[in-house]
Amino acid sequence: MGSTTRQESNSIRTRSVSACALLVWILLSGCAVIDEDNRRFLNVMDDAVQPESTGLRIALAPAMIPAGTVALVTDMVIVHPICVIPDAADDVYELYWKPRDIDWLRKTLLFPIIVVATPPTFLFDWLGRSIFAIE
Amino acid sequence: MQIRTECRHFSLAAILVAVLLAPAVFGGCAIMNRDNTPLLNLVEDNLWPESTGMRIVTFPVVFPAGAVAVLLDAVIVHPTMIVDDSLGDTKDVLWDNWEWDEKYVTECACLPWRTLFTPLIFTGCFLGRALFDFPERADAESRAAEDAARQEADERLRARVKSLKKTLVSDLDRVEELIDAGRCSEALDEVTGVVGAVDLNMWLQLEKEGDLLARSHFLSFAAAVGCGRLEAISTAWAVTLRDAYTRKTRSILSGMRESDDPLVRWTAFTFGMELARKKHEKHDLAHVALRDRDAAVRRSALWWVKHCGLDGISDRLVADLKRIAEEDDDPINRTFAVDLLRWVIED
Repeated sequence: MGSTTRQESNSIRTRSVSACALLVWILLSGCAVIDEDNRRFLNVMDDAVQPESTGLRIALAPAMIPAGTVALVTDMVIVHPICVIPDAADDVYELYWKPRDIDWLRKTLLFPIIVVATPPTFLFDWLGRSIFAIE
Repeated sequence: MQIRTECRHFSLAAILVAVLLAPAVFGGCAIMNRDNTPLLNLVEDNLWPESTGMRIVTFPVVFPAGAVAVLLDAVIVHPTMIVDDSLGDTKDVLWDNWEWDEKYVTECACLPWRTLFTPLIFTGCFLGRALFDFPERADAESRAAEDAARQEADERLRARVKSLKKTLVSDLDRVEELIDAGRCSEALDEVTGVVGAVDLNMWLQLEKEGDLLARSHFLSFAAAVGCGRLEAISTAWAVTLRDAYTRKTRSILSGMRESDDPLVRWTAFTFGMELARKKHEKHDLAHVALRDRDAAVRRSALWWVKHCGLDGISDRLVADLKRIAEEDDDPINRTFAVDLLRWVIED
């Protein structure tokens, strides 16, 4: 009985932490999607849906508010983060992997360090580019 | 269990009190401005006596009254006064700049966020205005309007200066062609009209754009000398001449000094001295003019020597003055030179 309650409590805590993390991500990602270029999905919808009259705009609003919100959140947490993967990879390449005119000994010594540093650097860069509007 | 609940209640109460007192404590910045403390102003105007003696006597009453007034100003009166400004700020940040025509879905998507952030932004603006002395929106708007009007006037002036500059360059080119063709009298009339058509303020603006004033004055001078209308020459032109035109003018003046006409030599001397004065060169031409064969020119030179000051006067000029004092045909010049020498000796 006590074990079940503890498991439920842990589950609630895990879900709460996940929800909070997602909310923080969404709020911070606001920085990135403030830039119009980073709202790819929403821009497509803007081009597709352009009601002319005020009446039509009001009539469509109950559907478009949730649809637009979903599109915005999709841009924040899926589309934009995916789109910045090549940029993050480029950054890591420029930083570590771009051929440089250095001697073989130095290259050999640096190689394992670069291999180890690549994933966290990529992750950090990708997170930064996903959250903030970086050119 | 009960103790823990009581502790929690106490903590909540402490936070509430801290939040309520925060504006009173930190409201210092806002309450520094008299406009934000109407109750304290009331106490000051009605309870604070003029004389020091009365102030000491009434202090025990006035101080608590003032403290209560400032507390009420900071916690109630001033926060109430800034509600509309905070609403205006929130409207500026979140509820202006709609793009319904171009971005309908984006605006729809932003509606919940705008709504969500409205209380947060309002609270931030409200607390900021309650604590710190931000300018009132009406003041800020009127200042912005003044800035915009000033900027618009500047742009209009710049556009006018640009267009005027173009016209003037073409007009002065035509004047130069007339002088080159020997039609100096016509050139003088033309350039006088061109210069007179532009008001002084515009000339000051044009001065920032180049040397148009210097060029027009040089052309006026050259045309006046060319046609012999020396009465048209103003020594004030010498002040505006810049380096390139100064050299050209000096070249003309040098020829004028060789003239047999005393009026031409006198004009060359007075204009040349004005140029020298502008360049802070002392008495160089006076030496030449003091040896002129015309008594009136020599007298002008004496006046210039006096006008420019006798500090640091050269030995050559002192010798000129001595020669005039002893040998000049004109008794006025002799007396004038003696007087000047007296100043030199006294110095």
